[in-house]
Amino acid sequence: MYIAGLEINPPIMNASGIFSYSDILKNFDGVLGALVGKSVSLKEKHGYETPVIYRPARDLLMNAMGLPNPGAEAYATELAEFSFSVPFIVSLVGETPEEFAECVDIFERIAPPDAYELNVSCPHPKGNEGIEMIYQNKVADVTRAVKAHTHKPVIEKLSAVPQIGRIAYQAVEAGADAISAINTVPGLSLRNGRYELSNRAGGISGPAIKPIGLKAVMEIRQAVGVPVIGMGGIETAADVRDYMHAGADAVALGTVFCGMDTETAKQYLENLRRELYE
Amino acid sequence: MSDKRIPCSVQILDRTDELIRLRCRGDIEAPKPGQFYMLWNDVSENPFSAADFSSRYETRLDIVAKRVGDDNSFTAHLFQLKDGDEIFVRGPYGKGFLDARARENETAYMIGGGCGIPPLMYLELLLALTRQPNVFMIGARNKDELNFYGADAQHVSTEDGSAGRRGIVTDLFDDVTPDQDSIFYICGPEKMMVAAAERAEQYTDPSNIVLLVERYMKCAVGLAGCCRIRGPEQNAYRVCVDGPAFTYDKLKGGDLGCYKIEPSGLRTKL
Repeated sequence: MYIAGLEINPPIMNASGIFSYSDILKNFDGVLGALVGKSVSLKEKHGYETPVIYRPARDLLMNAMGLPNPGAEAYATELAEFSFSVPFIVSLVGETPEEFAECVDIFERIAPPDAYELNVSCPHPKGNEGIEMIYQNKVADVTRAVKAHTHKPVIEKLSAVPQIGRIAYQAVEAGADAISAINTVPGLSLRNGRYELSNRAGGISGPAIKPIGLKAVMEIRQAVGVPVIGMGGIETAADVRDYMHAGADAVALGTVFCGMDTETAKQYLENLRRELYE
Repeated sequence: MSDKRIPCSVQILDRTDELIRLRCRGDIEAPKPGQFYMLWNDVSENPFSAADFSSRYETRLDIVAKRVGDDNSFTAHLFQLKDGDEIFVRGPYGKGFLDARARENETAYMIGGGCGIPPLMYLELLLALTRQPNVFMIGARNKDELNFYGADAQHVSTEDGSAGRRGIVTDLFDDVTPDQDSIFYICGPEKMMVAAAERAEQYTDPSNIVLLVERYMKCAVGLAGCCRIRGPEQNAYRVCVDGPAFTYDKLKGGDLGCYKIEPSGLRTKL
């Protein structure tokens, strides 16, 4: 599978926010077809106080991390120490098109990645970012700002919002080379009067959201011609095939790794690849 | 492993100005020595190693906590708990001492410093069940701290000399000559573990030295990535799922004792 000429083989990657850092991702170099970094902002963010995750049921994980990250400069400096055999995709988050562009400049200067993913969909941001880009109709502006600062492929990361096809279309019109979807689904983790996450609201992931992801991917496929990276609740080869059937060209995995150590996760990915492609 | 938060009733077993031993009664799954739980109170959620566990008459988990931070901190809140108060526990998580390395017929040398002593005491209980001989070496600041842990160790050091040998725990190697090729279990502050592992290495291979690593953690299930620790190669382990027990060969020459990770994920020099 190719995104604007960039080969992703196998078409299986990690969802942004899982494995997060160059040194953890190094374990999965070549096991995943592409490595996706944690969403990085211009300035360092500590994220929300714990608890930041909660798993009320096996098929349902809730999280509200609050986009913790060391900031673009520090993240890029660490990334610069590494070389990978598969594409490394930097994920960016910001409050304005200018902030996104400034982050791109930092990465291009310190550690140019193979592609960028624009997180315009985190459902529980601390500031005026993430899904606010969709709500405030800034998706096209952000995309254009980034495209003006890099020739690398740009992937737009979207959430399962109503009329997601239309937003995907706006992103592609503005220059996005691929769409990835979905981000986590907003929810409130309240049990017996207690909020299970410090932020109260969080994002739902895991098998429970697979039907939501499939629907979003189908809508995006119908709206745009660029590659689509599908994610949301994928655990098995059958899940991957369902996403491909709905219109995805590649898939990303996240919550399935919950509780897996590094060796188990690598073995799981080898098995998944074998089952899909041999 | 269960990710469900189990409501537990708390009992304060002992406390000083700085240290507290809490008993959590609830439907908790049994830990292997070295495994940890996430404790959730009204402030936040944080990892604690099992200091003791029993399900004989009732299911109960003991943990030992040290006061850190200001009056609004997580541990300050633990000190405000009263018997019968509720706290939530999920776990156990991670790989324990014996998951990292177990050699049943060898003498186990256990080296503990400060808050690293209680998890080793729980290991000692288990080794006693299988009749594996052990030599326990512990170090603390003073006699009061040692009494608090209640460890019955053959070799003791205190910084002020109020009990055992005056000095630090690695000084006890002057009194102990471990068998060649034996197995070591080490738990304590990171720099102490590095120092102890370097001494132990004179007697055995690094793959026979097990360290219980404590790092800042948010999720305990490998997703947050903030407990990453680089080994000698570039790749990092996540302490919550790949550890917290590691053999020294996996960590030697890496971040251990040199680099830490901030809550933002920033990697900085210790």
